[in-house]
Amino acid sequence: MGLFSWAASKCRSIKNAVSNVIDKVKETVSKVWNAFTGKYYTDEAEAIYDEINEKYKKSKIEYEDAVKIMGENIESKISHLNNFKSDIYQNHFKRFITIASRLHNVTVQGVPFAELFDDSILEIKNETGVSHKQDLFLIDFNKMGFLDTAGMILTLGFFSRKKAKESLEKVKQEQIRVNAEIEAMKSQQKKLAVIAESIDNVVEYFEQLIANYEALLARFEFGIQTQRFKKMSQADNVFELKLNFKHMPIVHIEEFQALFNLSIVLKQMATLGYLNAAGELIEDDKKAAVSLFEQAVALKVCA
Amino acid sequence: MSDNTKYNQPKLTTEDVLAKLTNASPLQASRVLIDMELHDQRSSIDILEEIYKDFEAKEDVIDELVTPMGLSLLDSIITHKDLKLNRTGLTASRVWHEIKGFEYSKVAIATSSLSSKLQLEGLRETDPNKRGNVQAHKLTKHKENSTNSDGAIINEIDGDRLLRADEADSTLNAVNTDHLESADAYHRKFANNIFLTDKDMKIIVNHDDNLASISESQNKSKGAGSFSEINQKKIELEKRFKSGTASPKDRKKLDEINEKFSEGSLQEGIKLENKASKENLKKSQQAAVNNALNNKVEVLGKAGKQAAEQAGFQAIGHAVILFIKPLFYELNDAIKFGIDKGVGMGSTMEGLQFRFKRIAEYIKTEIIPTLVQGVKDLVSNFLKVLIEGILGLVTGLFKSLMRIVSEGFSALVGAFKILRKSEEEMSSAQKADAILKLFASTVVTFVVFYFESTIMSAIPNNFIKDIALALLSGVASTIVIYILDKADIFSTKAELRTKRVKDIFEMRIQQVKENTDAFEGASIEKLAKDRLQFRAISERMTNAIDNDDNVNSSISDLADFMHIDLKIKSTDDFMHLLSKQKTLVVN
Repeated sequence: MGLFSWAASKCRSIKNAVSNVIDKVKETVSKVWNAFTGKYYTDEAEAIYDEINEKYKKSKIEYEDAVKIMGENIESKISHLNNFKSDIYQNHFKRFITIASRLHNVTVQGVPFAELFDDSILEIKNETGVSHKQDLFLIDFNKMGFLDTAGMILTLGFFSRKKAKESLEKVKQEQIRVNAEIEAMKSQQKKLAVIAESIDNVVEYFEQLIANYEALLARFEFGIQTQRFKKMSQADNVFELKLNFKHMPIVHIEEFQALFNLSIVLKQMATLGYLNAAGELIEDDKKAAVSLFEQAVALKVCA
Repeated sequence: MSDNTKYNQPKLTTEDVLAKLTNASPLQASRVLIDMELHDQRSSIDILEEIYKDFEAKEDVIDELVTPMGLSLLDSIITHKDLKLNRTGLTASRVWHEIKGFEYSKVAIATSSLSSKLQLEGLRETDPNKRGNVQAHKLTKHKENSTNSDGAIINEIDGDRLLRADEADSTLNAVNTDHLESADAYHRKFANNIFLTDKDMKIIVNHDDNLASISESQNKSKGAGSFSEINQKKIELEKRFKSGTASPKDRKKLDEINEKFSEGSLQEGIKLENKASKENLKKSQQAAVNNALNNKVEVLGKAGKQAAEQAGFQAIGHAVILFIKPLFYELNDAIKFGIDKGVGMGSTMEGLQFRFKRIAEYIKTEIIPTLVQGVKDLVSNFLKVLIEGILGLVTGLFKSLMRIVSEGFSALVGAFKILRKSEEEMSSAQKADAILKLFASTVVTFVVFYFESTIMSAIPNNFIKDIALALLSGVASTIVIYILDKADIFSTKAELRTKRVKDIFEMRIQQVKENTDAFEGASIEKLAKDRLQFRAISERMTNAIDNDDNVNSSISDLADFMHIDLKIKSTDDFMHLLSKQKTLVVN
């Protein structure tokens, strides 16, 4: 047993050693072969190509997600603004005209501007992804026929090496170009965040000012009503509706002035586009504007 | 390296962003922000393509390699110990400048370059208008010789009868002796020629061949100009009449010319003029060479023992430089546009043959005739040998391309090592020089071997052999570099291209980063400020409303904040508006 086992183990170790040598030879030969043909250039190019593809894909997904989220965010804000705009015309201005009519006729010009959200303005133009592999690789060692290989040996690997090297350089250039694209995407994401923030500001302007406008209107209405009661108690003709501004306490005139000027500000805000000039006039509001005007005229006739 | 500005991204600074936002209403902030460009809209693929195109333009190869090579070649000729052309005020860079400006279409200049440039400008002050240039006695003699038995002199351009001034009744029939090539024009051309003495020039310009009898009025019209100039003017005036753009003044001018010069006389004058000018050139060259050979002139003011031989050598040296011009023109052109494609030929050999034929033709028609016998023989033989030599050399180089590549392998490796050195270590001129020397030790050995065994033995003078070898090694090195550049064995071009792409895109990326930082920083700050400012105003407004205070001042602040112009600023204004307008309009 001893002898056999010794012999067997010797055999095994020889076998291992031989196979190690063969591996080594294989490895060396393939190294030399790759250097000779220039395949190691394309191997490197492949690695870089995969890396940029991966990197670009990741950045692109990140970018697209960001654009989608921020786009939706901005879109909802824009529709919020559109609501504010039509609300200003349909409710607040209407109320102001009605209340003010006790004192003086008021009309509001223009119509609210309903902004259309077009997400293309938030996107980068002329963006180009990673080029196709066959546009970058001038040689494919994996798809080489016998004739190609023979030709390669005969030309001392001269041309294959050159092509492989040039492919590598092309991929390196592509890497640099794609980096620039990624940077543009990153920059665009930051830009979008800032734009969203600027819209936030506008939303706040609308909210606050509309609240103030309402409060001021309430104060003004109360003042006018008080004056009317006062007047009614003094006058014989209870149907006399119009108040003479000249007999009004100055505080109510100041309120009227404040409302008038604040209406001008709100009117500007309601007729403005915030992302771009593209949008449409709200048809209903146009009608509303006409009817508001007619209402005012009618009140005037009444007075 | 070439200009990068066309690849620049737009630049955005914090100040720009703040200024744009501050100038607009806070209501418009989003639109202003959207409109700001953090990077241009050019596609990166387009930019990559443009970089490729720029890279192919090849100007750099010529500037970086061929120029210093040409300069060192010229320098070796100019400073050659036997020629000493540098003593005549010639420098390699000046000649190179001329070579770069060389074009076949401008060959007419070549003759004058032999007369003025070649003959060493700036060595002598010129005074073309000096009165002493005209020798009155010769004019008188010319008149006497031309007078017929009846006392009249025949006008040489129109055949009219002319009389001496005291017998004539007007300037129309008074005789004047005209310098066909004016003394002024001749001196402008030749006064710089150190091989010509003042006396030579006087003799030539006042020679019978350069004189003609014309009428006084004709002579007055011509002045220091020429018949061809008058003819040119005439044609131009006539053209104006045809197109209907002539003024009354033009009519007067044309009438004057027609009155003085009858039909055909200008053409006759031009014929005489051209003939005289040719004669003058011939005489000048003859005189210059005689002077040079007979040691009549002091070259550079140095009367010398070696002057005679020296001047003769210099004449040859100048002729060689004349020859270099088309030669380098072809080399540059071949590198820029391709040996064959640049001249519309199908193969490299055809292209080469065409190019050398063109050089030979140029030399035959433009250089050789301007030289005088002796120098002419020597130079034409030399050039013939040289052109044949270069053709053989180029053919040889192309035929044994692989041999050169393999034999010169170590030189190549060395050359690339040199090329890879940074600018601080070695300037491009130094690099080219080093490479030239490197090749001189390999390629040129081959060339010299080839020539010594074939043609060189036919060339007698030692210094000519030196020049020939310098020329050949220059051409050979340029061609080898051209071939290397074309073959681009180590794909250095691709590598250099990547470097260029990297430089440009990195610059662009950096700018986008800076722009984005400026944009983000400035706009976030401004938006926060706006928000705070608005909140303060709004809060005052709310408080005033709640406390039954006057709200108007806060509304006026609000309008200012939003850049909205309120017409009604005070309660008085408002009262006035109420009393004036039946209906208030919110607009």
